[in-house]
Amino acid sequence: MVGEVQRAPAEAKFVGELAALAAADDAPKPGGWHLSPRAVRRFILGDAALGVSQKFFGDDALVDRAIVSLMGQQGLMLVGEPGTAKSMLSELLAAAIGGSSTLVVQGSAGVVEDHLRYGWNYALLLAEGPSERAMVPSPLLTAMREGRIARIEELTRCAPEVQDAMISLLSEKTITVPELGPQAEYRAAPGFNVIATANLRDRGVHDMSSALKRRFNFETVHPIADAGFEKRLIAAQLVERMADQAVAGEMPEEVLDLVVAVFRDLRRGGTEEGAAVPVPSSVMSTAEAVNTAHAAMLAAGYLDGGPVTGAHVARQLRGVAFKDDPEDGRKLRAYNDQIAKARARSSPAWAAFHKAAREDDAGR
Amino acid sequence: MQDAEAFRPALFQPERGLWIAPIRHHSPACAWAVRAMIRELRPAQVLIEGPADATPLIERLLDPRCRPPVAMVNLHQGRSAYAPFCAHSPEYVAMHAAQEMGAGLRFIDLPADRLFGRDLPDTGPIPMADEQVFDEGDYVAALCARTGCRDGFELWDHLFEARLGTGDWRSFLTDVGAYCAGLRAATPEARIAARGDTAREVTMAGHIAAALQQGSVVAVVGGFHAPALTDPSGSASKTPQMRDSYLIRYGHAAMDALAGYGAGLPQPGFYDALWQAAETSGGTPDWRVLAGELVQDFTQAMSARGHPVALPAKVEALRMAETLAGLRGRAAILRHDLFDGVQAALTKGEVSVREPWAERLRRHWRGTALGELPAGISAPLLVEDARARAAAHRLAVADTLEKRRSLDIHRKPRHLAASRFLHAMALLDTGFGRMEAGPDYVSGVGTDRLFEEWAYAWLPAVETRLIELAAEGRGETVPAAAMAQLWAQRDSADPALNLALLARGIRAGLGARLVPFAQAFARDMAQSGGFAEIAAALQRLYGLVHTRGPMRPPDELDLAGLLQVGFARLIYLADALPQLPEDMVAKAVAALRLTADLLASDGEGRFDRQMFDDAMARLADVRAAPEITGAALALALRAGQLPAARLVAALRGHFLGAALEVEDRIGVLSGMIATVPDLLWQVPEVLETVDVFLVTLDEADFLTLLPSLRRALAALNPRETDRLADVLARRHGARPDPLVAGPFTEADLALGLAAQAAVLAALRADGLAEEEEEVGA
Repeated sequence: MVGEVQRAPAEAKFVGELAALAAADDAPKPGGWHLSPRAVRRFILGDAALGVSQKFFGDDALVDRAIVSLMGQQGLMLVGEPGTAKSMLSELLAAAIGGSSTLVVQGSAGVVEDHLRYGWNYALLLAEGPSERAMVPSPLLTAMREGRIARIEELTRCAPEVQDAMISLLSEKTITVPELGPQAEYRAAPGFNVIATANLRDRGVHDMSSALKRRFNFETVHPIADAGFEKRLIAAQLVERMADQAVAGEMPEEVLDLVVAVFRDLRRGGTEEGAAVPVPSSVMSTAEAVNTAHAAMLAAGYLDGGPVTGAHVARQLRGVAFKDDPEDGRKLRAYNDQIAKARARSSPAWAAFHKAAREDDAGR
Repeated sequence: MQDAEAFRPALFQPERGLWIAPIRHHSPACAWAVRAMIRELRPAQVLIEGPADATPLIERLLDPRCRPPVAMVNLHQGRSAYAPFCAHSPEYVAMHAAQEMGAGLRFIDLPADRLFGRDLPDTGPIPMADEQVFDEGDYVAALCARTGCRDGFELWDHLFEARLGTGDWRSFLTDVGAYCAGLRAATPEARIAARGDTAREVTMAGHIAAALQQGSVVAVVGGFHAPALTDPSGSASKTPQMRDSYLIRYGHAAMDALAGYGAGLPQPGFYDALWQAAETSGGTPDWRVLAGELVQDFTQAMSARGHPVALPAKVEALRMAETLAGLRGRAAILRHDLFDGVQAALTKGEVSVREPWAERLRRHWRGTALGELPAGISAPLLVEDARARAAAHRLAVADTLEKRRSLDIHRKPRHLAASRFLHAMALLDTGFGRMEAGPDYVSGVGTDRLFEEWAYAWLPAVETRLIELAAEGRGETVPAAAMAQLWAQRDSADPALNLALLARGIRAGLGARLVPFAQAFARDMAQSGGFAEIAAALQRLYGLVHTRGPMRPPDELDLAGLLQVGFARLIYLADALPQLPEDMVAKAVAALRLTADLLASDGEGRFDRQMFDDAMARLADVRAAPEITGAALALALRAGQLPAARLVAALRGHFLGAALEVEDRIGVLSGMIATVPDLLWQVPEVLETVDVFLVTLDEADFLTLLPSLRRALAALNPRETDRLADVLARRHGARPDPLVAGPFTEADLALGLAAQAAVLAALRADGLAEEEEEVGA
């Protein structure tokens, strides 16, 4: 194994916090759970006394509901715009409840039923015939046997027949293996459950059948509501990302405010002052705001060799967030002509943004 | 509650005979404790926070025929303040307990007038009790963070409603007292004074001190005031005569709305169920059973509305609610747990802003109860208000005879006020007045008239209509009801209608009340409506902004801002014109002309012309219906954005091009004529191109194109037609003569007369000539 990785799983990254919570945990635990529901809640929402950081922000009740959903028969389905930390929440829950966040199926058009049930080591299969040794369990089957949480990312990207396989799996909580004999089956140990994430609005996804929907409790993860908080979060993320860059990563306050305002205005379809703004179809999430600001900082640092300005943000906005949808281009133009232009009168950052966006627009 | 030990007000002072019951309005748990307290203590007097001058209403409230929810309402110059009572209101329960124990009863707060002295927002009802402190501030936020509650409401339920029905009123009220002392300690003194609380507390303390002279006292007061009343002194201030205070039927729905203004707990339907459950069990409700009943009741109501809920989903909702309550460390399954349970179990899909199931539950728990009052007590407020206003405007309402009145609305403010009232009554469809002559600013007819002539009569139908409006909850005053009427008629997708409504509102003198309506209009306009509709609305709006006199819009409406919103939307939509369906092209071209004219007449620079010019230049560059391209090219050319050669090239391209529809060949031309016809004679190349095209057309093509050509040229006004004829005539070397098309001969005349005689004969033969004869006779 390589010592250094880009990204460690949650149970490794927060090993200390999980240990502290387990040590202090005296509340009753549901069968198979590594921590009590209250400790899981503290792991995600933070507990200053135990030195546990807050990892998910904005909607405590959603976390409560998610935990309680996982205690029951229903799976948990996290939906919402991309970039709203659905996957992170699913990873944290899996790590805290089942002790492992790595039993994961990445949904895609290439996923087949075997990825949800089991496959075979064909060399062994040919040599020995069907045996437990020759069987390759799916992450789902492993989670069932060990009583852990299985995660399915982007469930709606799986073909409908693969989604259908989930239905009986979730209601029976059993996987039969006819190859090993008529009686061969694996029944889920206590603690097993499924967290799926899905994008219901993107293009190229498959609709979920209502039978499958019935087996999940749905939670919509919304973008962060509080502007001040979103700003702090973006600032922290930028510091983290710029840490290993060779150029200085300074984000002036005024430019950061601009980034936050642009993304919030376009996401909500209105400014703080109440002026209406056309909402683009592109995703205007906090994560995209971080991407845009990050790209602007890199462009300023590596290409221009100066501090990042509103102009850098404007130039990155189209490529990073807007992905060149002509309809969205119109909306950005409308935003620039009406909102940014007015703000440009009193703010140099907005003036630079307006000018650059206008030039960029004219260049097309 | 150990931390609150530091401020624990001395609520119970048996040695003085004083007991203070700190409450939160509409809290069943408080009601339960207060009743137990009064029954046990049997005080000589029960004093209640409420306008002292409204004390006579207590007797009516206790009338056995009165069933809550009812409300005390106080009227003052067209505004009304409400104090609702429902079955689980601590004050109402205390009144009944006091009556049962034979105690004296009275209200001890400042007289109702104080409610109107403050700086009030201009819209919405005024709650007599203001409890915003329960839901905001550092103390609530800190306690929320510690208990994991999301807001002040959940915190209150978690700390107190969960204890509904417990027998120990002493410890319950002590804890409420400590909580409220904490709230108060975290509220700056300046804010308390600014809210006008200091004066109220002095008054209440005086009343309590005076009452203590006559025996033991239980004082039921808002928890926030309790700490200031533990050592009452002074004397009871003189209470004025009750005036303009009434008892009215009230509803849970209205109570819920009032909660939005910071008074009491929202969703009375839910708290009523808690109260009933406690009453039935004679103590703490069985929370699990209650939760089951509440979920069942809700899902049944939803099934009846076409949202059936399967049994497993109900079970899951209940399991979620119960487990959540456990996770949050409470025995009682409360409002937020049930909300979360219902939301988690019933929602299947992604939700945007408001979760539909939570929203349905919210609506369900708003409650449906309507109070009852014996006849003779209830005053239909809207009727009284309309009568009072009519009298104030010197409109006779004593009988039902029709009367006339001429109003000089331009010069006499009193006449204008009367006219506004009459317009408001017309807006309400009361049939009270009928304007027989006068300017109609809404449709723009006769705006030069100076007087309005009205006929009016206070018929029984007027009163019936007003009662009907009051029953629909449209408001207690004529302006409030007129405003509600505007909201009810509004259609967010129809800018023309909304603008007309706004104009009617201005005409009815609704003034600043229209601000939210105008804002909603701005939001609608920013999001919906087609190019043509917005252009038309913009033109009328521009007219409205510049209206002076009686129709002058109040400055608060910021119609100039509205213009900007509409204009921005128009520019945005202009870029979508290439995708416009064919049947809407003609309207869009007309709208472009309208907009161009509007911009031309905009002398004060309200609009950013450049934005429109840029949009036209962009539009001219993309592929669109030929009429639109023609219009855009013409407008861009006039604005100097493009050279004339571009327009000429487009004209020629279409004339000579291979068009599927013949009319398309002259599409660019008709688009140009419809928007900037002067180009025809001002830019020689344009005329040249058109002329050459027409001259070189062969007869058959000309005949095919003729109808479309005529239609296109019909857009010219007579002056423009003249001008064009003149230029064309000069071009072809003829002398333009407007009168004579050519010389007549005598033979021509004879031919004409013979033709007329033949036609007349034919008409007569067919029996169609009667008219002709009559005309002749």
